[in-house]
Amino acid sequence: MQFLNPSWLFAAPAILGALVLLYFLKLKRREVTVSSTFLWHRALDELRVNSPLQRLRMNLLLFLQLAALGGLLLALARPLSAVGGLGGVDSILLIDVSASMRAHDAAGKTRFERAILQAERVVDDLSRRDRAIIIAFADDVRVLTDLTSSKALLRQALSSLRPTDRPTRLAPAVHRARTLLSQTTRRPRLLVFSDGRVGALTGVSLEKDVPLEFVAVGEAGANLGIVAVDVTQGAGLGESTRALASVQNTGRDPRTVGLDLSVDGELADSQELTVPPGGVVSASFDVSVFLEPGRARRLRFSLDGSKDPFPVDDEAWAILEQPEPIRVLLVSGGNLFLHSALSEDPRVWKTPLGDVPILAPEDFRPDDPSLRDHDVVVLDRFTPPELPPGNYLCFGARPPFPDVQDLGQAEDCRVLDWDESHPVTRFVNFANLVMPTMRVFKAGERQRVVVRGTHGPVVLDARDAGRRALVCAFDLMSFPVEGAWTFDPSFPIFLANAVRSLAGEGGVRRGGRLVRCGGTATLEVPAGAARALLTPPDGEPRPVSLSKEDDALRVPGLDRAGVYTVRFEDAAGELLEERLFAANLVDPDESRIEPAASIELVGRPPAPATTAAEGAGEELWKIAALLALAFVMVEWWIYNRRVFL
Amino acid sequence: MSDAARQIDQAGTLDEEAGPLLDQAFIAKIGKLDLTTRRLLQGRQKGEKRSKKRGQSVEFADHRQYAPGDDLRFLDWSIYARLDRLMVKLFLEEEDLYVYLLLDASASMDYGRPNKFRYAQRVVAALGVIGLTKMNRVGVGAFSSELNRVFRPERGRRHLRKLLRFLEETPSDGRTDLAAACRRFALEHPRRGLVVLVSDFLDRGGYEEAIRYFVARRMDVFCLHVLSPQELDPPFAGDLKLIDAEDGEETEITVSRPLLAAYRRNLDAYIDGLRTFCHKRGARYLTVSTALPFERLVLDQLRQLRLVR
Repeated sequence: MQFLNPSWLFAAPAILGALVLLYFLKLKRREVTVSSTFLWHRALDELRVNSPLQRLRMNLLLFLQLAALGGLLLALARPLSAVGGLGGVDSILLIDVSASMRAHDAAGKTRFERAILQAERVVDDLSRRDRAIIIAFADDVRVLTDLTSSKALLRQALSSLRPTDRPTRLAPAVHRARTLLSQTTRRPRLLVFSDGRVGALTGVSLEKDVPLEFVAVGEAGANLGIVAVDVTQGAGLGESTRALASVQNTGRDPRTVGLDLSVDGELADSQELTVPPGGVVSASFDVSVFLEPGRARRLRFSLDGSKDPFPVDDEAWAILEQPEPIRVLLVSGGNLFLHSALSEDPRVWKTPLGDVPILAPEDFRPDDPSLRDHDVVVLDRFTPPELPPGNYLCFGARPPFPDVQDLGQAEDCRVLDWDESHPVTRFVNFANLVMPTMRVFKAGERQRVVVRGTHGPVVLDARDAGRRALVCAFDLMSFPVEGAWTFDPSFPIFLANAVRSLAGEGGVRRGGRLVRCGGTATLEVPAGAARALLTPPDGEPRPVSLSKEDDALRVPGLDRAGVYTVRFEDAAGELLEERLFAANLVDPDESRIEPAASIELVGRPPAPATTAAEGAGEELWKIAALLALAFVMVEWWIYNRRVFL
Repeated sequence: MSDAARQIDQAGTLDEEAGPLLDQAFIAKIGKLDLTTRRLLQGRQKGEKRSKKRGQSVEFADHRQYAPGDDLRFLDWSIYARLDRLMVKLFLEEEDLYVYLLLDASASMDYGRPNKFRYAQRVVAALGVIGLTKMNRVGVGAFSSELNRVFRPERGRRHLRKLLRFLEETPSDGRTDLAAACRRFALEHPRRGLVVLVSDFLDRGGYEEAIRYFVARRMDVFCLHVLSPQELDPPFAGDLKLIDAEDGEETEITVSRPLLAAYRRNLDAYIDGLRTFCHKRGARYLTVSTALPFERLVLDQLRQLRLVR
């Protein structure tokens, strides 16, 4: 027998004692005149009713009242039967292991530790007929045990659990629980040990006959956290590398905090931010570091002086490394402008002689496998009959895409407008682009017009069956000497943007392989790599399997925020290359650590937060209340029917 | 509150039983009755009563068992010789009989349903009517803590109305002091006769001394113990404050079955004690509940006890 609310039992002696005390107090007695009281005196003397013990012993009404009050107190204490019925109970324990569970309370214990304690109590209270299963969830679901009645196994599973830095999504866990519940014939129940920050539950339902108990852990508290990180690496055209971070304040008061940026462990810059209550403030840093090939730099953002109960989001990391050169193949019969501009681009790979590889149009073979080694192929006034999958930059000719048609040539063309959101238009002024002649293309609806001219698309972003082409309707060699756009500063910028966009960098290189916790990092596997070792931020190196079919290494299940290191080795165990990537929480919802008051699933009333899990047994308060009612009725009947002890 | 308890709360008043003490039909019915005594009593003049006074009559009437205090001169020695039993010869003598009717008019009598005092008044009235009708000298004393009112012994039917008015005008009030009242009455009425003491005998000072005054004067004593049904079986429940009707003393009780049982045991013991005391002293005794119809008391019970015939 256990009690969900035993405080009433602790108060029982005082309450019952008060009732007895009332009997000793002078009652407002009904006055009755009798002929003489001396016979009554004799009767009283005989019974010695003046003795309190005797008086109590003989007073059935008092005993009944005590019994009724006792029953009521018992009902309020919510007793549970020792067993959950004849068939037993199947309990599914969903343990939240997300990042917010690492928030600690005033006593220094984390929410996760509190949740484990509560879950252990539930396990301890299981009867022999009951079974339970432990499921951990964050943004994924991990089933740690089978449905078992072995308390040792369940305790072992609970003790093996560790909190992660992942965001929370309860919905997949509930779906998994429903699947498990559909396979059991016993009385089920679902217990969620969490702080209630469980993500969206839209469309998530649970059978109505399955009791849902939300065992809430955690205290309310304000939190300052880094909720966004980004690093933009300059294109090498005068742009510097910028690091950005956003700080969120979930408290009710404005907070001032220092945001530090360290590079390889050394403080590089710091800013003081005042974050309004419930608001987000971003800070940008200019990062001036010299990047060397093969050496990555670790950027670390940290909040100085946040002193909140949730330290996980007080740090964030990013990796800076020198980008790989872009391999460009120029297919042209001779174009000084293109050749010069590409040769001057520091991101473009050059031959040892310092030139961009050039191929004559007549030597172009679509089935040449070496074409795959180039990130971008520039087709100057040349339309091959077919193109293999790849990225192409076309000038004065259309690619052989079915929905890009060449309608002929137009003269005296100007630019009307351009799509400023497209990466190739970044820092480019097309107003000076005056074309004596241009090809008139008709593009399909799926193709994106980047620059629109008086006679149709001037620049077209076309895609077709694994091929992508930036199609320029103008011929660079057709510009007059006087006022040619090729002499305008916009031209090399446009060319650099186009090459980077086609190479997959969008004009700027996304800094340091940023991954969210719980996500999957994808790394290019160097040639000759036979094995890879992954070193988590706070763990030991462990081997990860390399897929022979794919040249990419995927690292899923990033539990911990920080910098991960992947060491690629050849068959002889020699280091080929070491790659870094950073995983961060950066989740505004997860940084809101205010515990929720309830969990609401579709089609059922909200499950209110409770501080302790109910036992698996059935509640007996109704029986206790009925007993109390019965005692009250008997007492009333005796009082009114003159039935005495 | 139960109905019975509610009735007792009102503690019985005479209003509900207002009306003549005796109606004419009942007076006519009891006119044929006569009071009897077991002792030789002395009247002042010849009358209709057959006196048991020795020397005044030679007509033998009956024998009866010898009782302490009987005149040894009337022992029937021949019976003693034959049967070895002491028997007293009773002689008939026509002489007037002194009948003393003592009415308890204390506050404790004004209680119960039917009301004890009213019941006692009617008993005294009936006995008085019988006595006056049969040319006995009938005197009445009403007492509480002392002898409050006295109806001097009179003879003849012409005093009927006066007697009834006397009784009607007698209030019930004050504490009971049986001993003082009886002592006073006995001193004021020295002539022997039949004494009928109608009371609830609820006197903290006891009843023994009072009865002894009359027994010592060789009166023929008849104690009529009047109790109400509510005294015999209290209809109480719950927590009560009992208030004594005479002295206002308050007693708090929580009614329970053991308490009621103890009360009844005490009441039975009290009645038994009184009965035994009377019998030991040659006095007759009868407990009557006011639930018993008054007519049945007079015509049946008192007849069986040979107070009337």
